[in-house]
Amino acid sequence: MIINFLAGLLALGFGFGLAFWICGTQLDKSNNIGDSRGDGTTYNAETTFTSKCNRMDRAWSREYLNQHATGKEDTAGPSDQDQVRRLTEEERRKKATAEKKTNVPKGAFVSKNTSAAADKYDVPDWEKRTEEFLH
Amino acid sequence: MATLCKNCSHALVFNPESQLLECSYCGSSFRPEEIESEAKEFRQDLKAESMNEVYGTEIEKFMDCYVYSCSECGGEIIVNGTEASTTCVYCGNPNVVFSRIARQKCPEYVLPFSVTKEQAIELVRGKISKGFFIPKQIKEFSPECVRGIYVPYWIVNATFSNAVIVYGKTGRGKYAEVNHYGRAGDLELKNFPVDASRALSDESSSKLEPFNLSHLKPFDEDYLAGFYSNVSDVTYGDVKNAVFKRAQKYFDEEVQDNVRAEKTKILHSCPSLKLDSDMVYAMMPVWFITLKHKRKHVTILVNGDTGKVVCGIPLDKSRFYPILFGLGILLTAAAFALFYYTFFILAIAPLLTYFLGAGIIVLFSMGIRKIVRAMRSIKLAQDNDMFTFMKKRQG
Repeated sequence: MIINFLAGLLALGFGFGLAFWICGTQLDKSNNIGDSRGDGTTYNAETTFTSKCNRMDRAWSREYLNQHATGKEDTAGPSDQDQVRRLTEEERRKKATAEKKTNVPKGAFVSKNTSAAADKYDVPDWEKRTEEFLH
Repeated sequence: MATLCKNCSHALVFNPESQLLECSYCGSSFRPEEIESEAKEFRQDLKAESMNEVYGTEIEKFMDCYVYSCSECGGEIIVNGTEASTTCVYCGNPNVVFSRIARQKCPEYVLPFSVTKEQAIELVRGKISKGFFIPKQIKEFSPECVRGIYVPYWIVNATFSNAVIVYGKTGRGKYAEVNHYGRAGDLELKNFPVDASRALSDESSSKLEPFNLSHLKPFDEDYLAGFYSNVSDVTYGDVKNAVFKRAQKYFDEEVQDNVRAEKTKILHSCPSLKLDSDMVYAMMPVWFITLKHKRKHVTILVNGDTGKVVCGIPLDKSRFYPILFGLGILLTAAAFALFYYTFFILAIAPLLTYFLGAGIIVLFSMGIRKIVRAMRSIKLAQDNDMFTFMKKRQG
């Protein structure tokens, strides 16, 4: 009796699970036409990581955000409520000057992390472990 | 308001197949760049008058309506607040609202239509004729309305910066470990198109991507002849939101690839976005094709440059549900027979039962996710806003 019930339960799940998967895939293929968007490579979306930390503890993970959030907000540009339009030459010049003042240096692996604890976590794992093993 | 033929003064229409402006009356054809309209400057000064002012009324539904007169027949042309080109309802000639695309508001580039109306309909037919769950009436459709519309886009460059904390699992069994990972960095987006029309939803317009930007041509209003077009009406906030969502998605994908752990999940992030000031204003070609099915309008979009078809076609319920439940019952019976006679294997190997259970859950969730995805697209194609965006035009 229990065997019947368990086999029935598993069979029901398997049967309808597979039916949902087959019909769902077929429906998506037949009725949902052109459901795709440009991916990262289409727009040359290049990511440059300025900091990587592995295996952080909870306290350091909180500190990490405070130290690495750059907050490059566009404060020199028009307000969010303004209609988008082409900027005049003068406006562009003003914006460029304001940006120069606020911009932080960018580039591969330029880390803003200057705290004493940062050294401890920024070294690759294998180096850290070797150090711990040796001392 | 219309570009006229040098030989017979009849209105010219842009032909996507030949990429030339053609006169249907005398058969002459011209390259859009060749046309020097002497009256252009004068026409730029012609402003559309508010409909309420013309008729001395204060009717709310006319608040966004403006009146022009057709250069061919003198008939009244009514356009809404963002339309830049339309056709005359009386003589059918193309008309461009010059004041809307003049000076500061003028787009810098235009991607001319290269797919003709007939080709667009054929492309749609080709796509839907193969669909297994598409109703027969839709497969044999005759379009209710087909409109070529130049949709305004802002092409932007942006820098997205973020610092994230990722949760991930490494190792298996007794070596399994849960860790937190930190990643910070910048993502540069180049030539990212953002739909600049509020009336068209971002979800629909983003599916039309990618546009081949190497085909962009310096803007000339003659490309608009014979097509409808809108001008930009979005705010910086709208553009920032659209770019932000996509940049965050790309950044998160990159982070999850970069962290060497399983079942990664982003716990916290501090994102920010900066748009470059050199945004480019361009007009992109889209064919809007509507058909009626069971008293509902279905709008199908076709990228006027690449020919990509975007739509969610209503499903044939009389075929889908019987197949779903019939297949479910059939597979259940087959699986029951199999499990009943091999249950002793499951009894001695409980791990196999767990795997089977997990497999069932995965199959269910993947199937349901695909059905939900398709249903969302179907709902979007039947969206009233999109239908109104296309339909609410004179001509």
